[in-house]
Amino acid sequence: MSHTPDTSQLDLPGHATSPAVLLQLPGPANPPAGPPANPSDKQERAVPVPWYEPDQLGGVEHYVAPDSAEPGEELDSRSQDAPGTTGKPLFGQAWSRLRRQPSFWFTLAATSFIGLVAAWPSLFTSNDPRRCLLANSRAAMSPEFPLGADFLGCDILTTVIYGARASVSVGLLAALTTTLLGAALGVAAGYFGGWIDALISRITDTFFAIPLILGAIVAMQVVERRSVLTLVAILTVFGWTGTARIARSATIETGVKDYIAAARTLGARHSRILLTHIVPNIAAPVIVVITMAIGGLIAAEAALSFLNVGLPPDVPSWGKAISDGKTVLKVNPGILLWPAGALTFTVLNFLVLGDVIRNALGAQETFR
Amino acid sequence: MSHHQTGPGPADTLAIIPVSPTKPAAQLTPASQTGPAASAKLPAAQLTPAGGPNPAALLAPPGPALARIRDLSVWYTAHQPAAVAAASLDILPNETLAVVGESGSGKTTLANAIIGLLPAQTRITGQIWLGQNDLTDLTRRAWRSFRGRRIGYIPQDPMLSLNEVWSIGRHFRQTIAAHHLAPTGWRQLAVERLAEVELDDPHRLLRQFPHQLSGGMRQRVLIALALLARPDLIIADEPTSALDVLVQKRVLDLLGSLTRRLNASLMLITHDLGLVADRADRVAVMKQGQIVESGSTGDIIRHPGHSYTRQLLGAVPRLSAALRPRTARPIPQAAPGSQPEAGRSASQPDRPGSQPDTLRSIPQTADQPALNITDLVKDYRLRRSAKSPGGNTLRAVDHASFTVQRGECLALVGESGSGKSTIAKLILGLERPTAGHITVSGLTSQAGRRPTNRQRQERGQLIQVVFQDPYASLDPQFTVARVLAEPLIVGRTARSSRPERIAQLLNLVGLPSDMAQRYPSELSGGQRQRVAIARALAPEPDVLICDEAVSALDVLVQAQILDTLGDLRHKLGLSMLFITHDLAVVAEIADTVAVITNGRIVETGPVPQVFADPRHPYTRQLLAAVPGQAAF
Repeated sequence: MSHTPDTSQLDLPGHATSPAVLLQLPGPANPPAGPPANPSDKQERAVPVPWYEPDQLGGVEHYVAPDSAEPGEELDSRSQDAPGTTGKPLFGQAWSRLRRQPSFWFTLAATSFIGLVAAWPSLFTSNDPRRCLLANSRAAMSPEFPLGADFLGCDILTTVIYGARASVSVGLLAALTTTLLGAALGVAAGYFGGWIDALISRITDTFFAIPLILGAIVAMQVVERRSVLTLVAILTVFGWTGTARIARSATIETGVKDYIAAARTLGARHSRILLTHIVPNIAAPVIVVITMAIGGLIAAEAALSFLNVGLPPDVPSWGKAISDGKTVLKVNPGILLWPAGALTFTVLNFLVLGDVIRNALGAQETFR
Repeated sequence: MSHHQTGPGPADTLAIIPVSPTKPAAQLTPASQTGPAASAKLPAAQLTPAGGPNPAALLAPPGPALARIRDLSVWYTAHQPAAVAAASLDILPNETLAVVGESGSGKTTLANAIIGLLPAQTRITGQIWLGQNDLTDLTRRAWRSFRGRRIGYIPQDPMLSLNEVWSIGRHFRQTIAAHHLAPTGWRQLAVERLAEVELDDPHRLLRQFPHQLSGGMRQRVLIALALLARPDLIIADEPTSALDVLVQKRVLDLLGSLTRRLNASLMLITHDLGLVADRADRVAVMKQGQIVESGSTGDIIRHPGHSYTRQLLGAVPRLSAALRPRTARPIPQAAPGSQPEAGRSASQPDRPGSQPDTLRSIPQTADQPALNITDLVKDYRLRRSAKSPGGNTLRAVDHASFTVQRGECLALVGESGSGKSTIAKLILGLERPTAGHITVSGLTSQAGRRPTNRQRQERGQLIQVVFQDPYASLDPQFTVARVLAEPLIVGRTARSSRPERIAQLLNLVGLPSDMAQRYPSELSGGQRQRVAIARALAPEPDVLICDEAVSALDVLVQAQILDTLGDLRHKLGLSMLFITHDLAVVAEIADTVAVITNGRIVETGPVPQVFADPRHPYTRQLLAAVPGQAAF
């Protein structure tokens, strides 16, 4: 064995001078070789440097730490959880995490703004979106037309502002209905299992195989009256499968927990177990799916309107505005880019919001 | 770190440690060390960095320690208390050193620090000397010549510790290659080492995948892998806590004989004081990151010095408790018809006088057992496979019959997969039996039918359950009050009387009533288990099933919960079916015992009788495998 020291070993004494707890104590040996260097050091507390090798293991070998615990201590009152976990359940914890995130507040502000524009477009422009004069066709930016005018002479800003209503209402409504339908079917499949699960799962697979846009194009062409509600209904019919799958797997995961078995043992009805135990405990993943889905549904509405199979022509919509602008893209890119920008901003906003919420809820993985 | 500072000592004195302001020396300084502790073997000159005559003298200690842990502290994050606080420990050659403690005591952190498996952002102070190397200073590259080569590691959960997509052979090939152990051919060595851990047909085993092996076989493979490079030090972190008691005994016997033969030291991390008593030469007891007591095993078990050690030892469930007279037993083997229970329930002297009314006494009819199962069978249909195109059935419960008399506690004992939990599910109506009868307080349910809501509710009034995992048995979104309100709502207790009942229930299980507004995540494991017990008692059942209800708890909490359950049994006249794998727990709490293996009940009888004179070979094996019998 080499005895060549390296640097880490050279500062051994420095390391070793700590009040260490030793397993082996030397047997009767010489008393300490001298007084402590510093008189202020408490001599009775002093421990010799443990850097020696007690090779006589006889003598004191049993070490006991100074005893501070009261024997009658109520031991199971001690929380075993890591500090920092608050008692608040899922949503309380998620909220306290969200509150500290700037990106959450930013997307929340943007969402509120979009919502406000959609609800009261007249607050943001005094123009009527239908008041279009061909004389103003492709007018440049001016005080009268802040973003210019489109091919038919409609004010682009007004179109963009009024277009928000169609996009947002379709997006929100369709998200709500897909969630209700998908979650109901998914929870039923996951909770009851057996043939109910088999049936629902196969139906889900069937609808999953139909692309959303393709299905909607075909369906919109056969409906008699196109409106926001028919569009929402059709997007729901083709769009619920994602939520159903998430809800089903979350339900299966929750359903095997002992607290569900305990509730069943108590004789609780299925409705009670579903509503008080299952639904609150699968809400987190479902909420994440909804928020993420809003953006996609808004984009779907725009795509359908772009293809002229979405909302009727008299409803202002970003998709239709983009469609109108595509013919003059090279000459007047503004006609297309402003509504496209509004659409992108809105979709992005909901995606980021979903992401932020997912992170806040997703960090719950360790939460049991 | 302030406790690293040292007073500048002249060359001819011992360095004296000043009392650290952050870590009071009182905690760290054993009283016994302040005496004539300095050794003649310690030339003072060694202690001064400058002018030490020969630094090599420091490094060539003649002493016996294999590894020396000095003043080791570990912090996972800055705002948490140290997971290991100023621990010092020597590991001697050829010894088995047990590190015991409850969950969260820092024993696994200590082990991970020695093998260098702590997360990167962990802060470590102190030293871990293995020979002449301080392991806390090693670079990643340098670790390679220690980890696996000089220190072997046996992980806790064999089901998670092998790569499922690698064959056993690939595990060996990789490890052998990493340490350049067999330049000519790895297979020969792997086969030798598999034979060494008493695994049959090693050649075939090398081609198999982890999922084809049982837990015990996997653990033996892991032992063989850990010992491949013949390390001096083997760290086994709860190596058998995921295994059944019979397998545990075999694995530990094997590990013990191998380490002895290879002259290696074994550091055994465990929570089981029985194992420690049987297998360790020395013990270190950890509590909240500190080593509160250490010494030779016999010494510590006979003369525990620290109050915590005494508490731990006092809480160990003892097999010998089986032979204790069952004084607490409410029904002393009464002749049928003598109606001792009726007399008892009429008087109920030990009930608290203030609140007996709502905790109804059990309507006791003497000749009717609390719970009876007859010829219970449960088959599971297995998936079709190439071997059995029609689909196979697995008989989880095979004509099981037993009776729990009123006020009696029957323990159903078996290993995992024996069917004991399936029986609980069948009794509770969570699964439907294939055949047989279950009678709970005269209410019989038959095989085949799915119970209606009403039937489930009726049964729920008669029989309740406490599950194993206190973390999974309470809805995380519910406050304690809401958890306890559920059975009251289901049982149609008037809304106005619910808060009072909830307070009563909390009181009954020994929890303060201000717990009602807390969430489960704010409670400790023991407190959660008490809430689960309170919930089970809310419908005032005749029978309480405890499905491994104390198995997930630390030993001190386990003892407290067992006490509580015993008290409640007598206070409320409960009959209990106590399902467990732990025979020592059976000895502590049960009146009668039924031993189950492979779905069959092989032996039943009163606990003292069965434990003193087991008739069935399986019962004998089980009893023999209980660790710590000699000591406790």
